[in-house]
Amino acid sequence: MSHDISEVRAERQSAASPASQVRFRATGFNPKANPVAAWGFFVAVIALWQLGSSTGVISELAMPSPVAVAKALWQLIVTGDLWLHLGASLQRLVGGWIMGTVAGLFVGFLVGMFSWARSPGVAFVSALFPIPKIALLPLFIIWFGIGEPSKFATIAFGVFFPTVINTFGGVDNVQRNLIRMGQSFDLPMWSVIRKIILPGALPTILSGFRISSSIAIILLIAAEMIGAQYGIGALILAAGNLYQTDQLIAGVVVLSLLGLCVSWLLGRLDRWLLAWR
Amino acid sequence: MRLQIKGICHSYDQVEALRDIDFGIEPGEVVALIGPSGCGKSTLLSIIGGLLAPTRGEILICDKATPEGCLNPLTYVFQDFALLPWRTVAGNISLVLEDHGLSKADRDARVAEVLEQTNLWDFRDAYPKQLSGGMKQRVGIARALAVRPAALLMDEPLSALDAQTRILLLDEFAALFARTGMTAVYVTHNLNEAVRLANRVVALRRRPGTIKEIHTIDIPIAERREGMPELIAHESALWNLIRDEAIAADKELENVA
Repeated sequence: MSHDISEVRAERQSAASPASQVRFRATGFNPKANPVAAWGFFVAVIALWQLGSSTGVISELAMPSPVAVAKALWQLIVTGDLWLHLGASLQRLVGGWIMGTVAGLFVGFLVGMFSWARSPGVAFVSALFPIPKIALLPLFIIWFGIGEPSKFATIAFGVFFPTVINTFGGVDNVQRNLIRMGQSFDLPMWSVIRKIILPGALPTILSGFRISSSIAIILLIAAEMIGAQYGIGALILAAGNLYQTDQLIAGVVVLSLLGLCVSWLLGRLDRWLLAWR
Repeated sequence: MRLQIKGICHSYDQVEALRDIDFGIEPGEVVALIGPSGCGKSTLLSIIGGLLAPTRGEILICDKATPEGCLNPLTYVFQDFALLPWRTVAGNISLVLEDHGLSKADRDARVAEVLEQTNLWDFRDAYPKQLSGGMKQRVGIARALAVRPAALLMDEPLSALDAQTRILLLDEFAALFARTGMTAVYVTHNLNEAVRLANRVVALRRRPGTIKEIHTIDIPIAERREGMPELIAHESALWNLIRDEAIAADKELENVA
């Protein structure tokens, strides 16, 4: 005997438990940026640090208070010492980074595009990349003397390898079908490189700039600590030798600000060159 | 443009993809290449377009007559559109005109002309990521038309699109071929597309791809309509032609998997 469909539905409904809402399960794994929390955390750490210094929990000799650091920084500014040190550091940083980047881009493009450069290039980079570049500073001092060229060379050498790796990685990541498209329309090789490969590799190259600029700052400070009269690294080392911890931390703060400035500049460059994304 | 495909053989390492492919393409003719997956349709198109060197054989251009202002006689239309994401619609089209000594005014005029032809004028400043799949393929067509080609080489141009867009673009392709009388080689796995657009359909056997039959459709492209009994009969004949090949190719793929 066949039941009417409405009867069957009614039977099923009465047999079922009371209706409940479907539980939303897709929570988490989606972190969002919160500028207020970022600044708040920063301010809270400084406030705690100042509190610790004021109450004597943190020894002034081991770690000067934020106020003392600010005073030391102000002193460096008004005496003009900061500009002397910062100017010397910036010169080395920019010069070394540009030399390493230009050479790295050139070699990276060769390795990325030409079979004859691929195997020797990859072997060369793999063998030399893991060497801590500061270990070569004594060698560069022998080659170029204790002056500026050895510092430029150390920074350039450190910047060169990540730039090569990111450049040829970027070239490798350019979609082959875009290159084939260019070839199918008979674009000359130089046009394929300039209009397809270079813009296609740019996102990876730019992310390589972030790594290479961090490496450049590390090598700059290390090189200045080994043999320089002026420079933020020299300032920090001299302050440490004299137990002027306020000046030492002021130098570190300048480094942090320098890193932030470089990161901001690269961010702007990113936004300008990769606006299409 | 008249093309002669002569004794084309191609192997990828140890895998033989194509064997002894011989046929001609007459001026104004649309030739579809069909066959089961992996039969070498796209490989053959790449060889015809000069993007892949055959292991043996040659592609001959027998009649070098090209349309006025032709910048690239054999022009590709890609399955995945191959648009530069960092260039706008107009920029993508302009790209293929930039290295041919045209003045900027001439380039802009050609870009405007093909944008109008493909109904893309309002989207000229959009980037590819802002476009639907169908619009992207329209840009691919506009880019190909901008160089005023003698022959279009179309590699499954509708296969990456949804069914509705596919129907719309299929009508546009048919109208384009009927209007311009352009020579074209059209690779597809869709028999409906083949019978709507092609004057002749080259059916390939499964790997290594060899020609099983060249099927002629004697209805003018302009007169063909979706669901025409004659076209359905041609589609059915083509399916009978490649069904066993498709089943065998599918089994081979299953075994590989």
